[in-house]
Amino acid sequence: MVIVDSGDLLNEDEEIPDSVQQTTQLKAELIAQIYNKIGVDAVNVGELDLVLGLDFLKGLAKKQNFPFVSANLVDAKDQPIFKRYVIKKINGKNVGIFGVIGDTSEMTAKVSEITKGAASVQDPLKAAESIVKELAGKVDYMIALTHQGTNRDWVIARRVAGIDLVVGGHDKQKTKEPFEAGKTLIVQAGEKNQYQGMLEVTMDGTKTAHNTLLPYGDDIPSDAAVKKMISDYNDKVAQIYGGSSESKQAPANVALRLTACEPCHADQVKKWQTTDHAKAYDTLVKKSHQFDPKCLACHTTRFEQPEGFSMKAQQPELVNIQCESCHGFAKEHLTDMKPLPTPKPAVALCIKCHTADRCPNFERDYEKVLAKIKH
Amino acid sequence: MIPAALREIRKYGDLDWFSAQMPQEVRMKKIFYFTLLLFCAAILMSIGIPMNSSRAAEGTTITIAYSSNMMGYLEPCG
Repeated sequence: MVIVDSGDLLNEDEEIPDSVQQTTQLKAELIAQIYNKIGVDAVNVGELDLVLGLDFLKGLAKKQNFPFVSANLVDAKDQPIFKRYVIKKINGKNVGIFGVIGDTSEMTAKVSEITKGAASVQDPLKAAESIVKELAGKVDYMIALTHQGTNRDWVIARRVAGIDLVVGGHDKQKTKEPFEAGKTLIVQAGEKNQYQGMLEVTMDGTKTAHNTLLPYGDDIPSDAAVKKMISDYNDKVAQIYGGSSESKQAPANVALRLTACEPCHADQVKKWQTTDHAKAYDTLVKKSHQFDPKCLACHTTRFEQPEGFSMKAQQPELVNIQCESCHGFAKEHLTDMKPLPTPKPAVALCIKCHTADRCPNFERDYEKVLAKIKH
Repeated sequence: MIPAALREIRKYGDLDWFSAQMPQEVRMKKIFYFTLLLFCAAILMSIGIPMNSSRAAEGTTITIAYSSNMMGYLEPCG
């Protein structure tokens, strides 16, 4: 099997706050170790991978059994920073795999800003043509790992002869059926670990292919060794924040911040306690995710905002989605009876956490879901 | 019709194709049936070769497992 990734593997955020820099890097190292274990053949570099730091990524790349590839990401001397391509031999066939990142003005500016000018993006078409020419006659199948969006994947597929498969990235498309640009197939496997793409290619003259997009879910059994690696990571993260990754409930006797709202809004607080917002933190504890900032951002009150839940302090009185999560910072309302910033929140606030990938029908069913928490 | 034609061709089997002793009609029939034979052989070969090559290609299926935009998620998001 040839196993590849088209980039933006390690990180989701365009900026990483100092409070989670260490844990984000720890997670990146964990993902790389898991990919080592899986036996991945090549990973393309996306711009969000560079947010961790170019030196960090170069150091990470050196420690792995698989290469990060990029044919058009260059240093100040116009030299490739990562391997341009790899060739994998499988079933008696040579498969060439190279990577490119998009060169839109937005992307080039982002890469330059993120790497503080240490990296720049060259023309991906020229880079692809150069590699196809270099590998002509040496490979039986050519894979381009791209990180530039599907529109540009069409361009590279049509203009660079000799590419059999484009595995795309960046715009999070899900291709149940590959796009066909002449003899070149274009695929992409969605985002956020929701799908695994599998393409079976018959290496006769036609190179006919059958594509499957497998959704990841609870029916997929866990690998014991990977589970142990994740558990060790959770322990390290917990230690950083002075806690334990053991599944432990938040102390029952801790007065949540919303007890300050209760004297005037007792009915609302009582109703809130029956909703899922009141159990949001417990759902993390059950999965040992209570130190994962990605999860805490939506499962606590005012995450990393002034006087809100912080990774460093881990305040137990600010767990769960309390009043201020939706109605805004209530300090002046409590002290001076000033109106709340958002007495009646709109759906735009909710979809910051109830994103389309987590809650696909949230906006369509908004009235129905709102009824569950209305108070 | 075919057996009769073949018997007639066999009667002149020792003669060269373009010999003056071979009647024109027999010559045309000989050319026709020989061409038909070549044509059938060509069809059988064209069917046979892909079958042979697919037998050779058994075991030359490659599977490509690909992922995109994982963004640090260890489990499916949602």
